[in-house]
Amino acid sequence: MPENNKALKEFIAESEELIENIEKKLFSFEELSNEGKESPDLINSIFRDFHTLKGISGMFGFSNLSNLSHQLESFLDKIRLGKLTLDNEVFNLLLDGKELIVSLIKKIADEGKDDIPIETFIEQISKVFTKNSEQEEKTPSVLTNLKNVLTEYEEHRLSDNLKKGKNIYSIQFVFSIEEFDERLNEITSILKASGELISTLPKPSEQPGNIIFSLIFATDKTPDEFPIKGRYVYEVEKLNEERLITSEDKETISRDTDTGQLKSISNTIRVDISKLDNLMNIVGELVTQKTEVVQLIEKVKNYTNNNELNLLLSKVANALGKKINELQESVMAVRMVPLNQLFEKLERNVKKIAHDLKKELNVVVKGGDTELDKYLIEELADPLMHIIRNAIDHGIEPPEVRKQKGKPVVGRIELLAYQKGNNVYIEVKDDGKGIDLAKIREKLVKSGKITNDQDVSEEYLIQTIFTPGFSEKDVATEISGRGVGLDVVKSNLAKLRGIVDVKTEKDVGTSFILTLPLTLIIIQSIIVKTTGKMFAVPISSVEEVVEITKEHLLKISGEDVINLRSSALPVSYLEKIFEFGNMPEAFRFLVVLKVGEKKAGIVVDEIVGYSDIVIKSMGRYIKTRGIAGATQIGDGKIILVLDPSGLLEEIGAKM
Amino acid sequence: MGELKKVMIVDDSSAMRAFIISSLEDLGDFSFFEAKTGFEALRELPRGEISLIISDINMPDINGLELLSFVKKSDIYKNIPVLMISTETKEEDLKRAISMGANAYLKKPFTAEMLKEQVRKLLGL
Repeated sequence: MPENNKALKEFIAESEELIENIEKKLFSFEELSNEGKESPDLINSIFRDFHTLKGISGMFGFSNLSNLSHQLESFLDKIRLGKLTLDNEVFNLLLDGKELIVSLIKKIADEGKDDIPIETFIEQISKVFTKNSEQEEKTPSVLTNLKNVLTEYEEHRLSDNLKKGKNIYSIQFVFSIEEFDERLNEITSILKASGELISTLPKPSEQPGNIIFSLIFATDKTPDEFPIKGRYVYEVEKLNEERLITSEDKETISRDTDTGQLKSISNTIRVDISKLDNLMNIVGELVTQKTEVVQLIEKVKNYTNNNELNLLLSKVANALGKKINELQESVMAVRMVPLNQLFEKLERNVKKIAHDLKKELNVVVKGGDTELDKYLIEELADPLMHIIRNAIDHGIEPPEVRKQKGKPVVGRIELLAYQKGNNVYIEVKDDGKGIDLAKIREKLVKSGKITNDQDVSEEYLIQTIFTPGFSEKDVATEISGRGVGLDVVKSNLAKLRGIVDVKTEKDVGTSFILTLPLTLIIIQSIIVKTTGKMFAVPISSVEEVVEITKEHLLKISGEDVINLRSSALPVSYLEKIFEFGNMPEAFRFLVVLKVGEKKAGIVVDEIVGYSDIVIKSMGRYIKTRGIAGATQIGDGKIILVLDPSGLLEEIGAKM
Repeated sequence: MGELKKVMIVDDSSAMRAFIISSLEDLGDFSFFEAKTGFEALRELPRGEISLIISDINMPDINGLELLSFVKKSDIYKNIPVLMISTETKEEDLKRAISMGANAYLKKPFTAEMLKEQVRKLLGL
């Protein structure tokens, strides 16, 4: 322990800076997370900050601070290696830990010792540690020659990127010693915009004034699309196609051939989908009954003063709940099927249609291993085919036209699927001529739907392609094709509780983005109450819930909106939409709904609770847009379940 | 011996660098170069006459192991003794450092005495 005051002062200053940075980064992470963005670099840098803090506080003899930092560093290590999720519970724990560190540093600065007890907090962390099971990650044995140079974290980032279907490249540069760091900083920031830089490896050059750098870069761009192309001189090598057969691999191969007979038996069985439907129904009932039991247990607990019994009751309720959730997830997983087969079928059709229509194009398929409920996949085949046919027929220009425009002669249709949160997204992208919004506007004026000087949003114009009969009234053939069947596509999707968004740019192309729920049947919901009526709202479409008062309500161009963090959010009321009143009585909570790109707020009186619910259809005689069905909640009462995408449509239509 | 020995300290923590310097000051006639990042260390190398490199492992741009690998693979610099310091509790990094040619390894936290002893050995003082 150096008595050196100068070093100690450095230590205090650096510690204060470190913990301040940790706080900033934690909040940055939260923001990015809410936007659905991943930020491995940020997590890694928080890890490194705790690591540094642990190191220096140990060096200067402050064991409490060092121990605490060590615990938090281990936490972050698990998170950055993908072994622990940074959910709300963990996030709050990290904030608590940060606060404790701030107090410790202050004590050191004031009194020269870190004697604030940390045991209670460390106990809290250990509980969460052991609660979350560790999944041993299997690192792909590709790139074995790289393994020795990469740290465990870099290896994890490598696996993560490979799993996400990215390609791994080694990009080699030669720089002079004078300017290598400047060049590298430039290049790094350019590359980071289109992928993840996994590692930077320096190598000595034969020429003494030079230095060689190999950048290991993960991206879904091809080397032709690298943003550094043409600006720097470098060598590129794709790393993940070729594999060095290691001795490990040879062992596995020989093992497989020995037990050849056993291996040939398939690992899958065919199941009639009606059996799975039945299974799903039973699990659904089980979930409802679980909710009843749990509520009953709560009531019983309130009647008995026996602490031991109460504890036991809680344990039993929790264990039951957990097991049933596991069962539910397992059954859902059985029904999940990768989109590959569907995509392959679509790909074959595309080639045929392109040939028939004399269009030249390439089909790119990504994310085929994204999974979706089998039922949904069956129902999606037709709508997707429709959208693709339109893209080929009316999006992609004939080769001569493309050549004139300076576009590559061969057009490109991209089928992309990915899962985010509780939804699966499927995109159909073309690089054709885009939707001619000016012509649509013209048409609407001609047919009297809007006046010539009326201002309408791009979104409004785009939505007209989904209106029934759009094509019939049209004269110009160029956009008529876009109208054929798209209204049917939209209503088919609505039946699956999915929606479709469109993005288009003239001469650049068009994207159709389908948002679909992962499952239709058992849904986590919040229960709201307004003007005496209760409704269930699926949580996957709830972006946030905010407490508000009538004063927050504004009127812009006659429409009700609320100012939410400096942007105007349209609001509505269930009373108005379903016609049982005008406005909520207490007007206390704003539930912000978001499906795809559409967003709106519903004002309600009360948030009653949160529950797993099983949606029961109300039969084909009751079809109200915005209602998904009904469900039975814990106390036996039956309430309506809202359909957020339908609701958002209703709100949009009434504006 | 009036010759100043140049010691390059590579660590992104200013407190760590301050600690190392204050521990080694009275051991001999040293001049210290502080590199906050691996890049700074790489730039300093050709400026010559480095007698000892003391480097941390966890750093932002290139990590200490990569720097070590670079130094030991280079014909010009491979004879410079490298002392790796790290808080890594994983045996992995220690093994890698040794296999890459690190001349010595110190685990944090270490005392000034432990550091002095290692440096004495490496520089033959």
